[in-house]
This record gives sequence, structure tokens and C-alpha cells, in this order.
Amino acid sequence: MRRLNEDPFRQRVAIIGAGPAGLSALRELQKSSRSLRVAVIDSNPRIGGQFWRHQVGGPFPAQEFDARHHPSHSVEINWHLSSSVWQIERVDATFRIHIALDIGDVATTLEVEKIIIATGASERTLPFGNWSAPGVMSAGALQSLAKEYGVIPGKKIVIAGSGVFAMPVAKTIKKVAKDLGTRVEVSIIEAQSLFRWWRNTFAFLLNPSKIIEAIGFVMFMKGNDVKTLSKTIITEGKIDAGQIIGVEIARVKSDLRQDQIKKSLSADLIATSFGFIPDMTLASILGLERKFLHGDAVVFVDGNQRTSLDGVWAAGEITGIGGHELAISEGAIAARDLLKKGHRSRGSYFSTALLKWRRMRQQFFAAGLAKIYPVSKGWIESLDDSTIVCRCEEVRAGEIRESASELGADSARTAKLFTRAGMGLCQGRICQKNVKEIIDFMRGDVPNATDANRETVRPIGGVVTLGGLSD
Amino acid sequence: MNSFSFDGEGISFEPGDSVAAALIRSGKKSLRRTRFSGEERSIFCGIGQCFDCIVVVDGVANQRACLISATEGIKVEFQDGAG
Repeated sequence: MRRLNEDPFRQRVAIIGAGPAGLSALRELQKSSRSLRVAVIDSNPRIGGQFWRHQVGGPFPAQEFDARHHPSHSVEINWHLSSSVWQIERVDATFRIHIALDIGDVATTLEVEKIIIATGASERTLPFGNWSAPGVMSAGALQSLAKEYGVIPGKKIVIAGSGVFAMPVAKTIKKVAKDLGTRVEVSIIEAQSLFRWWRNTFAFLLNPSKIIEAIGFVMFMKGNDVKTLSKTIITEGKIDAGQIIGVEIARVKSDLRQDQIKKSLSADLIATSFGFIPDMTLASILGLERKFLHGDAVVFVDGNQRTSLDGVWAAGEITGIGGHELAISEGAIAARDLLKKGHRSRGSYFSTALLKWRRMRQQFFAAGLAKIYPVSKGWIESLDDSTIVCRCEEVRAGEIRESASELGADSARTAKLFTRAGMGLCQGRICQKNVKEIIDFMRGDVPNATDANRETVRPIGGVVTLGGLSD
Repeated sequence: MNSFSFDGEGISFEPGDSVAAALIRSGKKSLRRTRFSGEERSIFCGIGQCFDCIVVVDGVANQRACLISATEGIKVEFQDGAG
């Protein structure tokens, strides 16, 4: 055992991102008899990514993907948690992965031959009046507070936005509140019409388990008095004495253009979510070829999840938003191909074909969801000039519009140079897509493939202090 | 009982809490004030991406309260502007 671990010819693999895609890839690598040394890197202190967030000390929600409980003799795993990759260099046939630990104070470097990149996605939010005030948070933040920490931050919670994510969040809140013995009212404000689901019948027929899941959610919402207002959008958070006291809402068309008539609802906490954005930071540092899929810049991969760069595979949300089940299929396919490459295939063709069929079904479902819940450009027309778009640098919509109309900004990048939008601590993670859409809308531009390769270019992938670098 | 201080006030926390989770559980609405218009802010993304929940921890500014683990005796402060 000891000798095996020190084998200098052991192939070194890095999995970047320990969410469903990364852990699925890891599980597949563990199944092989190939001698591998696998570094698993994640910025969170716990594995699971966003989907398998769980309570500290609590059980991991998907035991079969928890490699810590499935030791393998041929695969040695090195966990690098609370670690963000801030740079990757290619040196001959190896990749040098530079990692900052914890909050950037300690830096280290790993050398590997192969990378599976599965950096996932972050939540998309759209600006509305007072969305930067305390008491307004992303639906993901609400989910994490409840699920990981057992904190229910309001008594009358409104989840406003668009997409399927509101349902599991509402369910978590109701369940956790019940466990805590507190009462909480939850309602959902959904921009699209629920009848749009009829457009997805084909995707449902390919994924019958989703029909059962959907029925389960509808029953839960009914049984727990979670009301949904559809074709409605939040226009403003109402504040009194620094406290959220309600939401102002308006009817919307499917292109998100608002009706002039507004209504108010009382609330003490607003959670908002308009879907997810693939986290392309490291993919762009690696220079992977990108493309647009359902309006997102994603990593271009072939049928085996290979990227444009030899030795790098991509899986999960960065190859297209599709949820954890699709991510699991993609991670497994990527790992199988990595194992196969340059070696005689040991995996059965039949099971790989089955995996690919499953991936195709799941991609159909993802495409269906993208059609049901499009984030169309109507939100830009309704956006008030005084609303903050870049939260970090406090840049308002009017300034961004002006950068295009008066100063000739033609991209999120030039708008940033004129207005500082996207230049703050978060480096545009929250506002860049919104700024880009505002500028494109002002100019009447339609995104093309070149844009996909220019989006989200950040020369440094994460927080690293000068002290950490000099060590 | 485990506790840390927030602007001198004792905040109790559960094992495994982030600083933000403990502060929100104890009813703190706002964690910082912005540099330019002095707006109050709190947790927004909850996963370390947005940097809106930044506070001063043991004298070091710009620490994301949603990522920092609550530990016994640390000194957390409301961040005013750049801190």
C-alpha cells in the first residue's frame, strides 16, 4: 500500500469542484483499477457543491457519492477544501494549479497531467428597487441559511423571480421552520406562466421521474399553503425604517415587460432568483473554447465531455445549466473517457452508451426548462435609472445606460472602464451578465460565438493576498 | 455557551455556524455600510461570491461573514465603508 502511494508514475488528476459533477467523476475514477492520484479541490469547507449543501456534522445527502466512505486501493484522494484555484498554467504535458487556501492567505501549487473541471454555477439575480437593502437576498442564500444553519431569517418570506429553484427553497423553509417549531409564511412570485409547462411535454415523457417530482412539489405547496403568483414580477422592495415591509409587484408578459399597474404585498424578507449562470472563471483562464447555450456562455465539449484543450474534461453546469442529475451523468462520462484515453478500454460499451442516452434525455429536459423560463430582455426596459446594478461599486442603471448612449461603451468590459460596474470586490460575478445585457440591448446587439469566448475573462480566479503569494 | 463579539456585543453561535448565520439568527439586520452612498448591507448570495456581507474580523477588513466560521472569542465589527 505504501509503495503504491509513492509510485512516481501514478497518473495525477485534478477534479476542480466537488459538487455533483465532480463527485460523480471521482466515483467513476474510484471504480477503475488504474493507479491514480486524484486531487479534489473545492472552495467550500465541505464537499457537495451547492446542490448537496448539508448541515455541519449532519449526514451527507448522497452517501453513494461520498468518496470518503468508499476507499479504493488504486486511487489515492487528496482533498483540498476551503481552497480556491486562482491560476492554472500549462507547462509541457502538465498543468500547474495554483491554489489559495481559506481566505487567500496561504498559497500552494499542484501539478497534474489531467483535469476534470466542474466549477458549477452561481445564481442569477436581476436588479429591482431596493434589492441591495438588508432583508433582500438570493434564494440560494436563503436555502443555505435554512439548510446548513437552521436559520429562518423572516416570518413572511417572498421568493421572487423565475425558474424551478423557488420550489425546493420554499420546501426547505417550510420543513426547517416545522423542525424549529416556528411559523413562517412563504409565497412565490413567478414571472412566467405556469401553463408554459405544456410546452415541455416531450421532455417530460423522456424523463418520467420528473413528472413524479413535479407532482410531489405541487402537492407539498398545496399542503403547506405556499401560494404562487405567476406572470408577476417584483418591481421594488418596500422599506420602512431600514426594514423590508413588503414587495411591490406588477404583471409581466413572457418577455418580462411590466404592466404599469403595481400592487403591494407585505413581507419581511425577499429572496430572489432568476436561474443560474455557469461559473466560467477557470474555464476562461484555461482558454477553453466556449459557445452559447440557452443564452449562457458555456464550455464547448464533445460527446465524451472533452474540451478544446487536450487533457481537460468539463462536466456539470459549466457545459450548460441542467441540474444535478445531468451533472452526475456528465461527470461519469468524463471520468470514463479519461480512464480510457491512451489505454485499452475496460469499461463496458453498453453501460457507457446507457449513460450517454441518459445524458441526452436530461439535456432535453434542461432545454425544455430554458424554454419555459427564459430571462428575456423586458426587464431592461422596466429598470429604473436610479436602481443599483453593480452592488459593489454602487453603479446605477442610468450610469450604465449613459456609458453606452453617451460614451460609446460597446461591451460589459468597456462599460466597466467608464462606470466601474464589475470592478469591485466580486469582480462582476453578480452584475456582469446584467451589464452585458443592458449594453447589448442599448446597441441592439445579438450575442455571437466570439462574445462567448470574451465573456467572464478574469485573469485571477479567486481571492489571494500578497502575503499568501510571497510565502 | 459559544460566543463571539459583534461591535462589543456577545453573539452566541451553534457549532458549525458561519459568522453571518450566527448574526442573522441573533437578529442582526445589517453587517456593513457602503463606501459611497453609505447604504446598509447584509448577506446576499450566501456562498462567498458577492462580497456584500463583508465585516472586520479581528481587525482585518473585507472578510466575508458567510464564509468565516464562527469561533470562540473572535472580534467581529460592522464594516463602515472600506473598513
